Amino acid sequence: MGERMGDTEREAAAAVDAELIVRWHRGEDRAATLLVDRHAQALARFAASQGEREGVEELVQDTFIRAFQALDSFRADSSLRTWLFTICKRLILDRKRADRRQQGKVELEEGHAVVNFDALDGLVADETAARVRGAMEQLSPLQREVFTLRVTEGMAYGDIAEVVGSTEGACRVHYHNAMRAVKEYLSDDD
Amino acid sequence: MMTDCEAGDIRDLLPEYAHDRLAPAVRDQVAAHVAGCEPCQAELALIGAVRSSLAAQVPTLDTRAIAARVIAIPRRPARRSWVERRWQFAAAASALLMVGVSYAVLGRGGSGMPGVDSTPPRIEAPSGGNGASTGGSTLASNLPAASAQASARLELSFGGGLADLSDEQLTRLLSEIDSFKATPMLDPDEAALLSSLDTVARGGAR
Ligand SMILES: [Zn+2]
Repeated sequence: MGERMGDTEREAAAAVDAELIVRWHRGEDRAATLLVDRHAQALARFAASQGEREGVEELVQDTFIRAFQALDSFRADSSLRTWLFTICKRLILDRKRADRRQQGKVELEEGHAVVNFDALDGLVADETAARVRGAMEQLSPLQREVFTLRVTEGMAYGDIAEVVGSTEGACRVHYHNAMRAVKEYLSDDD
Repeated sequence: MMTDCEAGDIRDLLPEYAHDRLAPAVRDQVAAHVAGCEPCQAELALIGAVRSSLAAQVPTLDTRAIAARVIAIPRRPARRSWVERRWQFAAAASALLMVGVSYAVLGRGGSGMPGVDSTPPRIEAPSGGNGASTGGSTLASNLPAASAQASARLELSFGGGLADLSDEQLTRLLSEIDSFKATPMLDPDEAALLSSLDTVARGGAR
């Protein structure tokens, strides 16, 4: 017997998203505004955690545009937010590939995309934040995705698995490995 | 050097505990454990530090501008989307499960959820709805009044009525939904842990 509140709440949140989608189709512009308000900041956090700094807003906007253009392919048995994260993650990958091509760098394996955290230097003045950034930098891209979705969004392993294209069990392992690596990094730093 | 807590199942719940996404009974059990466990306190502090460090890197978005771009996207003529119909079927299919969840919530005499209005909007099932939604309303109205929250969510879960909400009602509903966060599905390990926690809770707190 489930003891968490989650399932009914998630159904309720999904109901609101579904209703807003219907209203948008009906021509109610305000529905789109509400949908953007409900999910934009979480997408921005995810993008920033993956090393995106320049054009986070553009990335979030592109995510919504892709999503709204493809609403017919959205399956209601997935949560809208999870689906939006999935689209956002794809766009981030596309950008990294395009950046690499532009910079004439050796094409790296998708799983080992380099994240340029140096761009954040001027923004992260706080020492704790800088140390956390250093800790995040040494994670693999997959570990970083799983870790940040869990820590900054409190997402369930099942939803994380959907976003990163893995399994719940694997995501649990990635999370705990990432946590261990972050702890080790921070204690070595002392 | 931070050591790991040996209560791995509790440790696994710390991110959701930090986001206040656990049912009250589980949340209280985690809180009781954390109060006496230094490794978990340290891990929780780390989760908080990572969360705020990353949040500090995020620019504030101009959501109006984003919405304006979205609104400019051509859309189909008005129709009831299959997404909603499909969703209603799914809701009907899980009706019995949800009644069970609601009773579990009520059965623990839940202390109520933080930040939630105690008188949520009543959502009437649409007349001429399908059999499942009529049945759902009946079930919902039979629930004790002690948890208006749970019954509102139950009614909500049968859908249909949402379409007829006024903007004011919808806005209120949205803020209510946002005040309780989405939480994850259980996997078997967690289900076992949680049911044992619940046994402890029943034996102890009552
Ligand atoms: Zn512990």
